[in-house]
Amino acid sequence: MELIDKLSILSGAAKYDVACTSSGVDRNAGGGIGSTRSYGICHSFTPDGRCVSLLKVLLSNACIYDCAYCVNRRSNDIRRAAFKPEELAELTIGFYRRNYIEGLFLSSAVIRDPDYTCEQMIRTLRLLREEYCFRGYIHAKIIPGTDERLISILGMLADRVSVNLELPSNQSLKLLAPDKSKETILKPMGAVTNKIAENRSDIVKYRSAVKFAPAGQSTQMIVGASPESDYQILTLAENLYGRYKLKRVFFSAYIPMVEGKNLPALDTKPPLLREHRLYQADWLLRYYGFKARELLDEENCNFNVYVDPKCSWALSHLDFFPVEINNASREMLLRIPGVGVRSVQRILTARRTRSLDYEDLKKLGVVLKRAVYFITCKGRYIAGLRMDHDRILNALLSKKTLDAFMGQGMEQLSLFDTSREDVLKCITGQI
Amino acid sequence: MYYRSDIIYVYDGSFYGLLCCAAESMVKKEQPFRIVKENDMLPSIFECRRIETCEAIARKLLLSIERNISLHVKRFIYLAFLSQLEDRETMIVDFIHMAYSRGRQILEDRTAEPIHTLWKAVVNLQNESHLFKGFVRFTDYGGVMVSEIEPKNSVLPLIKDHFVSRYPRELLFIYDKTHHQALLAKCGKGRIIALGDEDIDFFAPEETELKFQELWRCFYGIVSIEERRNEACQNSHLPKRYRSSMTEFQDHRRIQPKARQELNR
Ligand code: SF4
Repeated sequence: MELIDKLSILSGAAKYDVACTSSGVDRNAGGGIGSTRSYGICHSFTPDGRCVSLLKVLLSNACIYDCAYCVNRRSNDIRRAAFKPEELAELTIGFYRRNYIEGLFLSSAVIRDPDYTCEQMIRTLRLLREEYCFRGYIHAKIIPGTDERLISILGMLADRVSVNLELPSNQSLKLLAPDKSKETILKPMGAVTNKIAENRSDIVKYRSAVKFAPAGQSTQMIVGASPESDYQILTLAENLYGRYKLKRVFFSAYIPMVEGKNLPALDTKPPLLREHRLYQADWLLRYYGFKARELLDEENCNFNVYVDPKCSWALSHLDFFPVEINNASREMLLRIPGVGVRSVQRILTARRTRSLDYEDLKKLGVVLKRAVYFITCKGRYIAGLRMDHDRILNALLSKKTLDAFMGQGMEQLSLFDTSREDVLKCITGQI
Repeated sequence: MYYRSDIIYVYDGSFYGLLCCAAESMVKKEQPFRIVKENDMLPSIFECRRIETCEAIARKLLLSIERNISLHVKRFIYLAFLSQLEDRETMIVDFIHMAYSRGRQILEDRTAEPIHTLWKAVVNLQNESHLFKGFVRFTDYGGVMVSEIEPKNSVLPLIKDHFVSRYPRELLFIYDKTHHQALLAKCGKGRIIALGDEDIDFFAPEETELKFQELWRCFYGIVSIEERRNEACQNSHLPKRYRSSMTEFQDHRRIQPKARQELNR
């Protein structure tokens, strides 16, 4: 098979994995080729608006497992291909030299068994790191059930490793991914967490110790293939951050590709808006000091489709507002709808030299559209502000969302109806 | 105090040249009405004074800014100079005067002019530089890695270290078509050189190069998820103006036949 055919099959099969970040480590080339930057670099953007940063491919798509939701499952009749480690290493370097990519995202279907698969991945990464002296970014996927010894080798070669959680509950796993289980997934995840912790203390002791997964660990789960609520999913994410010290939890809206009796019908639209809300909430957990319980509970267990989670929290906690820009704490500033981490930082810096009013906020680039209902400057609301119901709705919702809210059923509502600003904010995390 | 004169300073367009303008205005205790590059000069009713560029004076001023104000302010001045802001020279000189009287805190007062305008320009420059770390595409011309870019700001000084430290074994040549400058890098060292106005023509690349371009276009074409199509989002992250020099947006049929002919010869 020609290399180009392999590439199209194996990148086509890998593209549904949403993680494509290359951030978290700073390293220069030494005498080799490649470096990593902690802020991450995007090299291109595809028509779906997603960033292309890593060469994301499977080593092989010939899987011995039979996960119901996956195109690569054993019982699906598709073309199969596999890279030779030498081929993939050469391709990666060829792309990297031309500045097409930040590095490699290597995953694989289960070839013979999890350990054999991991060994093949290790061979590829060894070639890159040792023969080509490649110092760019590598993200390697760990197959559930992989032996700990292999994980420790893989983690020494990769910047980030991840074990996919796949589905947000054990029941769903049993139903849809019968070859996997909570145990085979959490065991390697825990092993990575421990290795990272050990390794960090080794590094303090012996400065020359090689870093184990310096960009940490992440995971991904599919949203919308199984019945869990947003509350369950978000609580799970919160636990993963706490217990396993994950750097990121990715959510991937389920896109039906294969038929299955336990799966949503093939013509089901991917729940992109729901995924978007989960990401917004995820930012709130990681950077804004929110807890999952503050945002949802057993009764209100799904996010509001109309307003983002932060707005929705503010609307049900009006007694915390208005917040005075000139003396509120950082924590409170972060809770103002529409005001992001960066804006808060700018406010804190600027108010050291003078007390701020609305003009100053605008100049600092603080978006006031939503915020005005929740803040005062020098004790005053912005001039001309009217607190009537319709206006507030107008400011908090996009035009289309508003129409849907006003009565025309909300089935048509999708991510694309939220304002563009909203979509951007989710990606940059400035909520 | 300084008085705002109706004089125009004319300088050579270099950073040191601009610093000499600032030095001149301090010595003469005057604030020029405008500062313009010699090439951009239009006939004017105002008096024009040519400011000669003298490296020693410029360095002395930089050292003084660093010692008496701060390293941050020094860096900010350089960045503002690299930005695409129109009439930045006049504003920068104003800013230097202000910085001497107000000290290092000046940068915190971002809502006052001209700091606010300069600051926005600097942020724009930094954002564009960041984008180019990803958007630069190299073509392998017999071992020399060549790239052409058309940035709005002068980004080369800001991306230099990044590329030099990423590819220490390569010979790099990044040509900034807008500012007629190029970054040359070899053995982990880089420098920026000024070039003439004429466009540079390159040979047709070799077969291996074309193969990698083809593979990259194949990858790019496949990884987009149709069910998630959202071009508005793509456009805001990757504005169209950057695309002409990016391999994945170039039409291979346009490049290939010509290249093939060359190869066959
Ligand atoms: S293990 Fe399951 S999800 Fe992974 S490739 Fe195989 S069938 Fe697909």
